[in-house]
Formats: sequence, C-alpha cells, structure tokens
Amino acid sequence: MGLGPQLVLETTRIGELDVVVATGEIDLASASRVEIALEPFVGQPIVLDLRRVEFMDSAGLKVLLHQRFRIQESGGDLRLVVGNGAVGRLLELTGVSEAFSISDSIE
Amino acid sequence: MVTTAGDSKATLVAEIQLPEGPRAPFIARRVVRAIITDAPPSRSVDAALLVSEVVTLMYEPNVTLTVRVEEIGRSARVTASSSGSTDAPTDEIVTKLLDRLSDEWGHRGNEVWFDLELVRRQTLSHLSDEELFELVSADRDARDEIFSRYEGWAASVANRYRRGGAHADDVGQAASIALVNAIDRFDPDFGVKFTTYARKTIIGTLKRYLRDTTWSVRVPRSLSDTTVELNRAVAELSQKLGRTPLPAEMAEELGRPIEEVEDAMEAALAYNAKSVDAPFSEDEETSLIRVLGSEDEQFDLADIWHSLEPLISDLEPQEQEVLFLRFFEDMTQSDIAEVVGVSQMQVSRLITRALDTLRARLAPDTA
Repeated sequence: MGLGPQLVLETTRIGELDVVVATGEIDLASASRVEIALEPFVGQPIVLDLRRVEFMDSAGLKVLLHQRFRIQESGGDLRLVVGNGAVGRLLELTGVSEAFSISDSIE
Repeated sequence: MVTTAGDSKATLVAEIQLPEGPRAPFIARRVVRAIITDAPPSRSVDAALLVSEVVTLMYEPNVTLTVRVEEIGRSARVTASSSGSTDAPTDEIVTKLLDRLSDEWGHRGNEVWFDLELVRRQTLSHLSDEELFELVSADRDARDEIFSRYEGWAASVANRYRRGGAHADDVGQAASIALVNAIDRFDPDFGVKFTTYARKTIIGTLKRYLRDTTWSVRVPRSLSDTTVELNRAVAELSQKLGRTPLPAEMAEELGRPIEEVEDAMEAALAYNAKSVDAPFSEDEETSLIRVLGSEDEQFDLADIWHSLEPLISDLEPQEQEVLFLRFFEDMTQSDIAEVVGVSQMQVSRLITRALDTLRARLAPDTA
C-alpha cells in the first residue's frame, strides 16, 4: 500500500472564509497541485488547512512561500492552519514560520 | 562536512534504484522508513525527510537516481546517487535541514550522503523522568530516552489486550504510537503520574484499534470494550471454577448487569462472521447476500448512540430528550421546542450544553 493518491485538496467555505483543506503528503510530485489549488485566491484572503498533512518537505515549503508572496503582492492574505505534526516541525526547523500567519485552528 | 574516504566498517543494508518521474522522493521515503525500523521513531522520521530533500534536489527528468543505505557503527549512512552529474547542495533550506538533522553530510562526485546516529546518545540516562519531561518539547533525545524507558511497559500493557485475530506486531505498533502520543501530550501539571496517563492513552488507542480492525462486524464501542473484559473474566473464572462460568457469574465478576454480559457474548460472535456471498450449502446457489435487505442508515446512528449511552445517561433528563429528538428522530429545533414545551432558543442552548458536556467527558480518552 501507500501508492494511492498522495494528496487530496478540497476547497470549502467556512462562514466568510475560503478554506483549502489538504490531506496527505506534499512533496515534489504533489506540490504543484497546492499551487494550482491556491491560484484562484490570489488577491483574496485564503486559509490553507495543513493539519491533515502527514509529510511535507522543502518542495512544498517553496510553493507556500511563492504563493504567499503572490497573494500578498496582490492585496490578499495567505493564512496557514498547522497542527503539531510534520508541517509545524518543518516550519520550525527551517525557521520560516515567521514568514507566515499561522494558527492552530480555523477561527 | 568533509567526506571521509575510507569507511572500512560500512555494511550495505539496501540499494534501490528509484523509478523515474516525480514520485522518486515518495518512493525513497517509503524505502528508508521501511529499512530504518530499529531506530527511535523520531530518527526514522528525520531520515525520511532528509532523503526526500536530497532526492528532490538531485531530481531531473531522464536521470536515474539510486538510494543506498549502509550501516556504519551506530549510524546509518544514506546516500543518493545520480546517473547524471550532481553539484554540492547549495539550496538554503535543504542545507539547513541537513545541518540540523544529520550528524554529518557531504557530497562527492555524483552523490550526496548523510549520517544519522540510530543509537540513542546515552547522556540522558542519568536524568529523572521529571527532568526529561521538562526537556521533551525541545530535545528529541529526551523524548527517545523516555520512549525507551517505557517501551517494554507499554508492550506489557498492550499484551493484555491482545486477542486472536489481532496481529501481535500491529498491536505492539499501535501501543508504540500511543506511547509517543502520550509522551508528547503529557504535562506534569496534569497532577497524575505519567504511567496513569499513558496507560489510559494506550488502552484507549488499542480499544479503538481492536474495534476498527479485528471485528468482522463492527460492534458498538462500549460493547466491544465489555467483550475484552469478558474474555479476561472467562479465562480467570474458568481457572478458578474448573468449568465454563455462567453468565450470572461473569456479571458478578465484572460488576455489570447480566444483560450487558449477554450482549457482549452476542457481540463476541461477530468476531467470526460468515461471508454473505458464500452459498448456504454446497448444492445451493442462494447466498446470504441475496436474501438480505440493504443497510438502513439509522444503524450508524444507533451505533453511535449506543456507544455514547453511558455518557448520555449522565446528562439531565431534558438534555437527553432534546438530544434524542434532534439527532435520532431528526427533528428541527422548533419542532422539538413544541414537543418539549420550551422556546427554540432554549432548545439550542440545551443541545449546545449537552454536546459540550459529552465532549468534555470524552476528552480525557481522546485528547
């Protein structure tokens, strides 16, 4: 097993917020899909929920940094929701957590 | 980060050629995690992250990548090599991760390698549990040290919950994961001993695990919990009495009503269910599936309701009634208001309060 879909992305609306929920693993093979999922929200506030992401490496991190830049340039805002799993650890290890607005729940 | 040429005691553990295409890092992680199994869990997680980084760095279409794992003393050396040329890593994030997580790393020719010590450093063994828990959020060695102290204990707790059909390895692994979770979540300020807290986490995890994986028919949680206790009581009583105990004797031993014991005995039968596709007998074409109707969605609700019953019965009678009408009878808040004779606002408040109470009571087990 383990060769099924690596990443599932769902876009939902919670109250006034657009939320992209990611489940699975973000790496070289799947990072571009995160980029595509965030694309419609350039210029808007958007929440990316990464709590159900079991693995992410710098390929995923680079996409997040890139999209955050584009979204902010155009007057939007990218917020991350991160648990204490693999994603939180990566952000902390690489020291890029300061670059994002991060919370541990969608509020 | 100087490469050492003469690693005389290196033993090759595995060498795998990765498939071409962007799935290469994914496959490399799976391989490394499958190989590095003896290490503390945090080390195999680190190894998977680093190999993913290195393979991603070297990835190019139409280039073949190979991952090699060697054992050198107390460390694993993971080497990724390319059929093309490979420059020394200069990517800031990747080099930062290699610096922080590996003991040593380097580049030579068309290869990038890193070393990870797999044997715990022994410097923490003199610390008390209390001192280790102070360090645990910042220091992975502290976490590993606690893990090693309680690993055997967790396995013995888990062993008591093993039953036929549940694989010993899987139960052991579920217990290990529960132990890691307990270590991460335990706070000495809880005012309980770590073993008290961890036992609860482990048993909760195992009960869920056994319920989700080994029953051929899914049985409500409170029932399958009773069945676990029941199996133990049967074994103990049989030994004491020299015969199979009666339901009444088991009810007394467990301190449970006899109906509950009978339900659990019934539930135990679900442990070995018959296939619905199998013909009734050899010379018959009809199978069970043909004579059964379809599943009623309400069954799921009944299951949940039954699992929560012990908690629900502690709620105020009015809260119980409102919950039942809302979720079991699927009535709207205003309809409930009419039936119960209160305002719709009050119904809403009653539901919120009841759910909060239930969540709070469930929390010690699931949090």
